[in-house]
Formats: sequence, C-alpha cells, structure tokens
Amino acid sequence: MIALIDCNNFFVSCERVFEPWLNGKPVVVLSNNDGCIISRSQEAKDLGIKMGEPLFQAKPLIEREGIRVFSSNFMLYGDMSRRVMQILKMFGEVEVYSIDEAFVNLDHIPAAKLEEQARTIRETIGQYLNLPVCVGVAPTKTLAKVANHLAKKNAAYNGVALLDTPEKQAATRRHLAVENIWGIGRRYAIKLHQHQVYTAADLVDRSAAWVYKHLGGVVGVRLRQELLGNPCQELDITEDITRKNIACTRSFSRYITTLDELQEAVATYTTRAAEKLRGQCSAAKAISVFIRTNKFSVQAPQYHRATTICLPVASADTGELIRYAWQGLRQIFQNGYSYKKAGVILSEFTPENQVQTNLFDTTDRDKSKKLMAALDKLNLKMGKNEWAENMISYAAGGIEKNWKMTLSQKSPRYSTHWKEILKVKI
Amino acid sequence: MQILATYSPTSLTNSVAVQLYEHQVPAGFPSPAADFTERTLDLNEFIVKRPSATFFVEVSGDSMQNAGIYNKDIIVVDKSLRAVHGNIVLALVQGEFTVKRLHYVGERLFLRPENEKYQLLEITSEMDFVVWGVVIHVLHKLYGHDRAD
Repeated sequence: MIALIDCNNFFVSCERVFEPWLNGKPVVVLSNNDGCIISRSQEAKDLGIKMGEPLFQAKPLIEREGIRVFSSNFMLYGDMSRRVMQILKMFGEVEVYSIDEAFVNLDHIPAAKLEEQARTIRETIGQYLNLPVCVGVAPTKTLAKVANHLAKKNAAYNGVALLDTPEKQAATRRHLAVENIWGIGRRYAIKLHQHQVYTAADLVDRSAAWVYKHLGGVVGVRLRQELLGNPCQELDITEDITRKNIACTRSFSRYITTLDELQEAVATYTTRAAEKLRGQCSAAKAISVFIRTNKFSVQAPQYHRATTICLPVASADTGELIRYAWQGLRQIFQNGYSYKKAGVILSEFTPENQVQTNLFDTTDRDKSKKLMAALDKLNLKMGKNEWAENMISYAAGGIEKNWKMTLSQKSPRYSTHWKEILKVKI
Repeated sequence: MQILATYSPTSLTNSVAVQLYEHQVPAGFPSPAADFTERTLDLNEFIVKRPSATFFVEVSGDSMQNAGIYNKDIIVVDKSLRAVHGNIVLALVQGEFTVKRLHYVGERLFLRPENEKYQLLEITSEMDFVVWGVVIHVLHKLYGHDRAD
C-alpha cells in the first residue's frame, strides 16, 4: 500500500507554526513580489478569496475582514518541507512529490494496521511541526491521490482516508469525475465526456484497447490499471534531486523600461540559476530568457517575448552564462514598454564532468571550474543577505538592484537564520 | 547497426570514496596515535536529539533565572516530546508565548516561574493553553557578548 501525505494550505500553515494565534483566523500568503494570493487558510477560502487572485483585487475584502497577509517566505517553507520529509522517512521509503506532498511506501504494514499507521503519520507531523496534513492510503499512486482528496474534502474522515479494498475503490470510482483524476487534463476530460465517459467507473468499464486509443496510448492504459488498484507506477525513492531544468524568474518591485536595468535583473537571475546548476554538478547546454509587461494592467501596451540560446559547449560558468543570457535579452528587448517580470531558464543538462568540448572552444574550462568552486565556497561560508543574495557577486547583476522584489510582509526566517529565530518574552 | 556496449571514460557510479589520513609519516618512531584516528565531536549531536522537531528560540526576561535561563539566552525546543510534570516548556497561554515549568498538583495544572518576583499561574479549562514544545537545553553566552544588554 502507498500513502500520499499532503500538507493542508502549506504556506499558510508554516506561518501559523510561529504565530499560533492565527489558527482559526483568515490568513493568506502572496507570491513573489506580493503579486497574487498563492496560499489561503480555510477561513480565507470561506470568505471568498480565490486562488491566484491578484492582491489589488482582493484588497477591499482583505481590509474589510481583517485578513492577515504574508509575503512568501520560501526559506521558511523550504526548511519546513525538508523537516516533513525527514519525519516521513521514519515510516517507510519516501518519494518527495512536491514541496508539500510525498508518497510513502507502506508495504511492510499489515492490512489491519494501515489506518492506525496513517493516523500515526498524521499525528507525528502535527506533534513535531504543528502542520496539519491529510493522508490517503491505497494500493496505487493514482488511488492514493484520490484517497487523499477524500480525506481533505470530507471532515468526517478526520484527515485519513483508505481505499484499501476493492469494494471501497469501486464505490469511489462511481463518484469520481474524470476531470478530477490525477493526470487527466481539461482537454482530455472534454474528449472523454464526448464519449459518455464521466466518472472513473465509466472509464474502467471501457476496454484497455478503447482507453489506449482515446486516452494517450499506454499512459492511459496504465492510468486505468491504477484506478482498478493494480500498481503501474513505482515509487521514485531516489534521493537524487537532479533537476531537468532550473528556472529563476521574478517580478520587479517597479516597472523597468531600460535595457540596462533588465540586464542587471537577468544577470542576477542567471547567477542564482547557475549556482543551483553547479549544486547538482550539471552543466547546461541551453539558456532561455523571457521578459514581459504587466499582464494585469488593462491600459498599458502588452509585450512578452522569450528566446532560447544553444551554447556551443555546455557550461556552468556564471560569467559565460550571463554573456549568453544577455545576448538573448538583446534579441527580444523592445524599447517603449514597461517591463514587470523577467526570467532565466537553464536546460539540456549534462553531468559536469562529461562535457563535450569542441575544437574551437577557447575558454579555459579548468580555470573556470576552479573559479566557480572558489566563488561558491566563499558565498556558502559568508551566507546570504536578506535578499538571498551572495556576498561576492558579478557586477553585471547591478549594485543597487532597486528593481528587486518587494516583500513588504515577510515573516522572519525562524528556522534558518540565527538573527531571525523566534523571540519570546518570558 | 547495433550498439553492443557503451563505454564512458568517467563514470560516476564507479567512484570509490577513500579516507585520507593526513598525518605525516616520519622515518623514525611511528606515531602511536595513528591507529586511533577518530571523528571530531559534534555539538549538534549532543544538543539536538531530533533535528526535524527542534527549534531555537531567543528569550528575554528574568522569570526563569533560577532555572538558569537568563535574558537573551537561546533555548533549544524539542517539539517531539510530550510534556510532563516538571518539564520546562514553551507554551502558548491566551495567545502569547511564554516559558515556564509545568507543575501538576493532583489534577490541577500550574505554570511555575523560577523567580520569586513572579506568581504561579493556574491553567484553568476555560483558558486558551497549549504546549508548543519542551525546552531541552539553554545556550548561555559567557564571553564576548555582542548584544547590548
């Protein structure tokens, strides 16, 4: 059996750990740069705050109802997530699925003890971290997702739902709309509706051949099997956190109109992305850059453009990557617009020590590697400042950075910075 | 054409970690300590029992000074422990954090300060009370205060 553990309203819950008096009160967390609402407490949901709603739209409601607003504090959320995963490892092999979700293998637990174990997981995370979670238990990942959803939506389950018998699974399938199945997108759902397939039960009633034809081939057939309780996806328990691409994108605190300032921003984001790249011992062969105006602004002329540059030789050198990022930026930059956001995405990775050089390569790769290693070591030792910026950085990133994020309501990094730990008057 | 085997000159999976003993080898009397090379002591290991449930908190005030917790000390709080009579806890009382000793008298629960200047506080059922975590260590700086006290 597989358990899916999902933290409820994770970012809001993290804030409440250190401000427990906010339990039971409406709270929201904003995206980077205080743009949109990305996490809502149940009380905020009940008041009608929508997921992804821009702050300025929700402002009247927030003020009227006295909803507490936080800027995003990803250092805190990241650390709390790491702790959750560490706790889950006490219970079985873990596949970390996202910052607030993980699968745990419960094959070693006898059937009669499953519910007790699921409750223990939930209580342990509650006791150790004050984070509320829901647990769904089922023989397959797809059904574990469904079970978790049941636990979340139905208070009577008290946070734990099991789909451990064929009877329970069949009953659930009859009420499960295809658009709510993990892995079925909106477009596929519309297609299925055209064939009178509305629920998971309708779907498994069709033959495997029918599903193969109408639902993405072998992927669809596996999904059908998983819904029937036959595991097709194993847990990915590798500790390897190597990513396939690394993105660093942010909104600016104010509009940027000049190429100079955009270059600073892009250089800063490239620096951050390159650091992560070296952190996983990869080198990138492609770099994408995008810029865009404020899509929420009604009057302003809109412009967004992206470009991807293929490097002749895969690189993890910040300086080199900045050069290519700028080259891309100059291609897409248009004068006369007010830019609100930019981003850099690195992709096409190869392991750092297997980079294919080419004949015309004039860069001293060994020297660059040593320089980067020294830079990373120094920055790691000196720590980052409040903006998660390095002590030693490229001048290309700009010195003043007055376009950087506004995080006007950010809570302290309680668990990762000595100067910001919880302070209590006794 | 068919690929029969692939060869990678620098395969990651074949790397073997080898411990480097950095002591010098003099040509003479061998170092009797060489066989006793050991790891160094880690303070974290001593202070933090369960890292995933441990938090550091800075306190201010003198209500716990007889228990050795002074103004501006840092306390180590373990949330995995269930608080029992006699434990010093970080608790939430009526929406405010405090650090006190848990003290049961029969069924009655008190929060006991460790300073005669302060009163015993009884926790009654209508009060909003929850233990946030158990205090397991206090870090008290003796030398080189960089804070203005």
